Amino acid sequence: MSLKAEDMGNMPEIEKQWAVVAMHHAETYYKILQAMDGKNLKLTKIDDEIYEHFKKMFPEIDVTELNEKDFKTPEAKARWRPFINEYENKVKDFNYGTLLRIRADGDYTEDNTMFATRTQFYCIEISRNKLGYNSPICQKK
Amino acid sequence: MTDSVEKQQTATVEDVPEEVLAAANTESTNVDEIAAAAEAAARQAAAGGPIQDRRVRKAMDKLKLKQADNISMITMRRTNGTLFSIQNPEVFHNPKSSSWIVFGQARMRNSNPQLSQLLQQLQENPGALGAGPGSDEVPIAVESGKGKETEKNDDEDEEVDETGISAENIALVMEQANCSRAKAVKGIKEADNDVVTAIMNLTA
Repeated sequence: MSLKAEDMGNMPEIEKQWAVVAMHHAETYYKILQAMDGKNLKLTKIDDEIYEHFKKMFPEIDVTELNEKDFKTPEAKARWRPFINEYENKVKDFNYGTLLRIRADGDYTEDNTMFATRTQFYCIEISRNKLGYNSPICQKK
Repeated sequence: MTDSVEKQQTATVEDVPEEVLAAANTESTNVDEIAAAAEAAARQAAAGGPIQDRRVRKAMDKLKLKQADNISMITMRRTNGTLFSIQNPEVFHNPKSSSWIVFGQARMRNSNPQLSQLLQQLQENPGALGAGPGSDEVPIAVESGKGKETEKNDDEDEEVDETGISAENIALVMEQANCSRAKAVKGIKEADNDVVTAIMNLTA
């Protein structure tokens, strides 16, 4: 009897648990943005390092409105992979699936959310925070 | 006489949520006595009389309970996340054991929306208690003695090394996760300075 990894799905319970954690993360993050100005928010110990590295490697990405092409195409994935792996030991859960808002000015709605890794989430959200794109969320409240 | 006793008892059932009493005891021999005294006191309070009522005093004296001075607030946390805080409580304790009896108006803060809704209903209409669900949950009789006291102290007194963590982040986590400073700092450390994860872990 041979079992091929490709044929195996994930356990639905595990998938659900991931979704719960990811939603919890998204909600918590959005609540923080509502509670305080993103400019003052530090997400990791190495926000500056991630920010500079991200700007250097992906200068074309517009963090106010993301384009899935910059994340989902095979070429984009190939570029992201070494970048993400650099943070393997620097950032907790660097590779963990995380929800990311496509437009900086919107909430986590169905059409404004995409899937990313935690490192990508940091890149985008640290940039948004530093550049003040997340600040209006706080004032909206 | 029977008539008045009955009246008092119904009053107790209805009003206990407001006059929260907590009898905490570690010595099993005293449980009944203290519970009886507490009940008597609660009955007095519920019937509209002040705690200072002579009969309660007498009952307290009989048990050789000492009144503890200079206590401005007592906070109790239940496992379901409910917080009771009693401002300016009257606190009695038995010097021979670690039993404490607390009288006062309890205010609730809790993270359980269902319970807070129920409590709000109760405040508006105390008579609804008998019919309401979970009615036997509201009067509290804490029997774990020292445990409650020490838990509170652990939270507040624990000195935590805050180096490397920004005060802003600590304040944020405390506010968002509704926890003590010590817990916030610990949570941030465990999450490796990721405040989002820290809050998630503390609120999960």
